Amino acid sequence: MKTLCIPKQQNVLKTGIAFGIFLMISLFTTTVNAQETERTVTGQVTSNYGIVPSATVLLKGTYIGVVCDDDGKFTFPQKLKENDVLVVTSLGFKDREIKITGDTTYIEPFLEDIPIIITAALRTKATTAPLDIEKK
Amino acid sequence: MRRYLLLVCFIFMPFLHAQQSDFKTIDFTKAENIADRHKGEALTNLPMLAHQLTYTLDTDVERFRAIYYWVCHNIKGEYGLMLKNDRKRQKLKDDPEALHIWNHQFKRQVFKKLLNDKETLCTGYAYLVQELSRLAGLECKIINGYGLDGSMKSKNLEMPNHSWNVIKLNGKWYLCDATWSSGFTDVTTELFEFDYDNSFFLMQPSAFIKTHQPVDKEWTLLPQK
Repeated sequence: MKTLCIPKQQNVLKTGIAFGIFLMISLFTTTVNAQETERTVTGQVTSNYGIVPSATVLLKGTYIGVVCDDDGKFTFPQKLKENDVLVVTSLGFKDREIKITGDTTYIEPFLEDIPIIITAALRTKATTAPLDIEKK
Repeated sequence: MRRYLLLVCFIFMPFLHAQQSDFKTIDFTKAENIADRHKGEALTNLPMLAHQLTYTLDTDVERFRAIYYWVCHNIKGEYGLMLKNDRKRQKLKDDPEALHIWNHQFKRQVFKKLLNDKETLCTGYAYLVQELSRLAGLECKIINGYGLDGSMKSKNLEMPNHSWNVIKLNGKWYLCDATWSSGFTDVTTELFEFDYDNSFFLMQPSAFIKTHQPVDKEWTLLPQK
C-alpha cells in the first residue's frame, strides 16, 4: 500500500512544479507581449484647409498630451497601447477621437469644420472727435 | 385665492428670475482670481485651459464666471476684421453661394487670428465661451441675431450682425455677451481697449432684448406670447 502512495505523491509534486513553470512562462510571455504592443505614436493633424497647426492631442479622460507644432505634427509624450483613445481638439474644428489599433504608430487625424457663420458687431466709442469739437 | 396667486407666481418665476441676481449669494472673487492668475495663457491647449480655470470651483455658475471673466480680459476685439466682414457680407447679401464661399474662407482667417493673436470679433468670442464651457462640462450655445448698439441703431440691418451666448445653469438658460463685456474699440484710432462691463453677464432678458434681438425668437428667453 505504501509503495503505491509514494509515486502518487511524486506525481502531485511533479504536476505542481509543471503548473508553476507554466504559470511563470505564461506570465512572462504576457509581459513580453504588452511591451511589444506599447509604442510611440506620431502624426500630423489635417483638415479641409490642409494641415492644422497648434491642435491639442490628449489621451481621452486625462490631460496627458501634446500641442502640435506649426506643421500640425506631434509625437505623443507617452507610450500608447491598443485601444487607447486620443482626442484631437483645435479652435474652429469639431473634436476628433482616434482609437489606437493593431500596431499603429502613425496617425493622421482629419478634423471636420464646424458650421458657423461669422458675424461682427463690436462696441465702439467715438472718443477724440467729439472732444475736439468741445475744445473749439 | 391666495393659493392660486402663489401658483401664478411659480409659473412666472422662471422668466422673472433668469438673471444675475439669481446668484447674488455667490461670491465670484475666487473665480475671478483664478481667471486673473491665468492671464495671458495661450489658446493652443483649450482642454487644459478649461480645466485649470474651473477644476477648483464648486458651482457651475462660478465655473462659468471664471471662463467668461477670462475671455473678457484676454481676448481683444478686432475692428479691421469686423469692417472687412461687414463690407463683404453687405456686398454679397444677394448671392448666397458667394457668401457661403466667403464665410468658409473668412472663418479660417478668424480662427487663425484668434489662436495666434487672441484678437477676434463677436463670433470668435461667442465660440470661445461655448468651447471652454463645453470642455468644462457646461451647456452653452451661440445665438445669432441683431446687435443694436449706438451707431448701429440707425443702420438698416438686413442680416444678422452679432453673436452671443446662452448658458444653462441649474437647469435654466441665461443670456450673456462676452464681446460687449470685454471692452470697446476707439473708432478714430481703431484700437481696442479692455473695459469690462459686468452688466452683460447673465443679463435680465427684458433688458437684454433692448440691444440684442435673436433671429430665433425663442432665445429672447422672454415669455412666449
